[in-house]
Amino acid sequence: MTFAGLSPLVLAIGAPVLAAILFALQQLRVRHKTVRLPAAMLWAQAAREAPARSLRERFRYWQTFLLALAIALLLWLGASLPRFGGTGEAGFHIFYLDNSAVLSGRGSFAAARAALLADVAAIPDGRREVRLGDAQGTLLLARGENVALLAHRLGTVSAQARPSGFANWAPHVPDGAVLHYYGGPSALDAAASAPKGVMVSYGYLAPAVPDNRGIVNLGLVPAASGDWTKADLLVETLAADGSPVPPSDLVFTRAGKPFHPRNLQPLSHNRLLLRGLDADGSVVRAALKHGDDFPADDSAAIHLPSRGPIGVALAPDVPRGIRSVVEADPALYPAPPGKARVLIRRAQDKPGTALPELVLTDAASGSDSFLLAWPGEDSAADPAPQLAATGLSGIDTGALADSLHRRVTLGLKPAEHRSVSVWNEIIAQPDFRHSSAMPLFVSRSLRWLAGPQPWLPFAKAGAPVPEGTAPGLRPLVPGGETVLPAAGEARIGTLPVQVSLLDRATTLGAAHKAEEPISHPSGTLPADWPFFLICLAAGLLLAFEWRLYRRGQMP
Amino acid sequence: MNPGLRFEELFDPAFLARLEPFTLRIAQAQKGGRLADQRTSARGQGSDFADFKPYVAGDDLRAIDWNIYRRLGRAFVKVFEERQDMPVYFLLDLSRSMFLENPPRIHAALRATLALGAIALSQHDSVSLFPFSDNMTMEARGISGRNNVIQIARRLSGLEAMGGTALADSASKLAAMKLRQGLVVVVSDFFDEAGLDSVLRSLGRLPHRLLLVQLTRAADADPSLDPDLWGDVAIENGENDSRIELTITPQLLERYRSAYRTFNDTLVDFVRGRGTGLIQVDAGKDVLDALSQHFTGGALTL
Repeated sequence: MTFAGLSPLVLAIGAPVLAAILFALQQLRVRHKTVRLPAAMLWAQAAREAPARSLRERFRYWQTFLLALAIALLLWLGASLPRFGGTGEAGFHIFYLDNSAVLSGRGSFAAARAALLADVAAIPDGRREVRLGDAQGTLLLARGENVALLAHRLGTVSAQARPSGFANWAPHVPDGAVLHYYGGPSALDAAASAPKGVMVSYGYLAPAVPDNRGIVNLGLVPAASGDWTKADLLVETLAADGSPVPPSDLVFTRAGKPFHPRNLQPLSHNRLLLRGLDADGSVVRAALKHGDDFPADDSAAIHLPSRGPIGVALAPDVPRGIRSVVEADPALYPAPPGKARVLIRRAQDKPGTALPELVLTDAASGSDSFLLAWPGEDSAADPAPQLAATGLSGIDTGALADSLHRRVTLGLKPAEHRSVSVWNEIIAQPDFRHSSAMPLFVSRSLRWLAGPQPWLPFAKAGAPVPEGTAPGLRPLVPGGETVLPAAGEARIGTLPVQVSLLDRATTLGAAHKAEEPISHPSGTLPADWPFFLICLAAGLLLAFEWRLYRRGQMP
Repeated sequence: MNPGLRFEELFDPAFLARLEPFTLRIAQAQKGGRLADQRTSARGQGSDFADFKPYVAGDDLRAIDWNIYRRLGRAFVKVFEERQDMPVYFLLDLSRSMFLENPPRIHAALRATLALGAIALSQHDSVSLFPFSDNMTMEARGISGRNNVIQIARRLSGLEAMGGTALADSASKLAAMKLRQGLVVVVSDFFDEAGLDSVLRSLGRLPHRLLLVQLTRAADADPSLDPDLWGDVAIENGENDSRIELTITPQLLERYRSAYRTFNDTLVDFVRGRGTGLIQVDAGKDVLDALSQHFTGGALTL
């Protein structure tokens, strides 16, 4: 049995009420009112003179026939449950378990799961499906599958600290379906994005946390000081009630140990800047000192980049200008080939090691002025990030060509190891040698050649990794996105990533007080308003018929 | 079931005073009664000249017409019509149906009986009361004298509902009593389970003049005026256990109206055919208004 518009409780209460009303009407209908009249004998005579019942008699009251016909047809139409905008999915029930951070409150997910199981069992197998609120909208229970499977499948599901995807998923609900939502109160706003013909009802909404506070931003940037081995960390907090969150309410850990940052700079709007953190690849975690009933946003963590000084092996005849750059850059230091990560040599020198190298070639060799080589599929990708990373994009090649009276060319090729080749003539060219472009080119090329481990400056759960923010990271599908999973430790390829919730809408939504927790149509009119209209019309016609009957104008 | 009228409610001097202009006459009363105002076939004392007859010994010498004696030489005496009283017999319906409704028909019936009785007493006639229901009883017989109207009022005020309507049987019993011919006044709604035809046959066999007083209500002719008559009803007459369960429909109403018209037409046809008087009194209206419509010029002659 399907209860599309009423809860089982309302149905159970309404049934005896309807029975009582009908009983009363039945009493009114059959109870004869006793009237004492002296002329009773004439009434008996009139009754005796009534024409005998016959199977068919002359059609007299076409108006009353039309009235009764209209009522019957309206009821028949109402029995078909017409729905506004109803198409192929009219009357189909879709249950959506939003296992995002909105159900991470204490006991919320268990309560939502229990409500879901109870409600799904009330709908016939062929008229419902159950979806999980993950990024893919995983089908937990397909149409026609036995409900017993759902309890087993829900055993492997839990609430995950990531933003709700309900608002993005709801517009794709088939028109005319009934959508049952189990999640957080913030869905009351998201339901508006469902198609007009979809009726949204709420099977469970987690209780609101009015005083919720959370960390909504945690990001890294290279140290403003320019120190290659340092990074700056930005922390932003948010209180749902608008109150400020003082810096003293935050505690930090680094590599699992308490950490008291020295260079802590408060900024506006509950933001803090931690300057000059050692880029040693450790995990920094910020947490609210006093938690609340919505813990998913009470802490956040991120991996610091791993950026140690780069050992550079210098061939004996490397030009003085390049050697000076290596010696001057604190991120670089001369090292013997056995301890170096990068080699600088002339082309005619034999490498001796398989290190990435900066090779100085002669223009007469016929090679390109600048030649970048790097391994695998990276070389087929857009070279712009490589040119930026190596400092090539900052060189005025036009002026350089004029000075050299040669064409300055750029070559790209795949190779087993990274390498950068440049003409000796370019390095020796006075204008270039004395410009800022030369040390930048050398310094950046050597950093690029060293192949520092990629890092994410910002790791928000459920968010795609912005292109270029993590050099060396590529989406699994060309042209696609790399989407971060729920909060916690994760890996993208070989890169360990510490993902945090960091969602302003979730932090605010956890405090949202649900005022219509039971049922809320997504459009201005409920999808099944024709049914109610039909019931109303049938009721009015019945009342009109009853009035005619009482006035003796109905047979 | 409503009660009848108490003496204080029935005996109203103002009501009686309004009856003084009225007289009740029949064409010819049976002789043998007391001297009174009704014309009879009796010859004797009186002021109305009737005929001459030859004088015989013993005749009143004052009645000899001396002019005729002078012309003819024979003595003739004048004969005068003797006026006597008229016995008025009231057959008063005390069946339970007369006590239904509000006000009940019995109230109007009692007032009509008192009014006609008072008129009869005022013209020196005698009044007898025969209340009937399932059986006929004799409540009073031969009351005469203007001052005895109070006695009639007392007798009427003590009457209560009895049982069913057996007007046909009561009329037959009255006929069997071989009373002196007079006027029988039947005060009833004429709803007798035996049927109106049976009632009229019995009344037709009475050797008296007849005056029928029919107690009616407007809803008798048009039941749509009765606010209780709609939907499913069970109609009782209050006299027995019979119960008619009906659903009031326009067709049924029309059939009832037709039956009532036939009922009334039958009664009127009887009245016309027998030269009987019929006074229809609406129980919800003033009794004297209904009576006065039939006392043309103050007199009702039957």
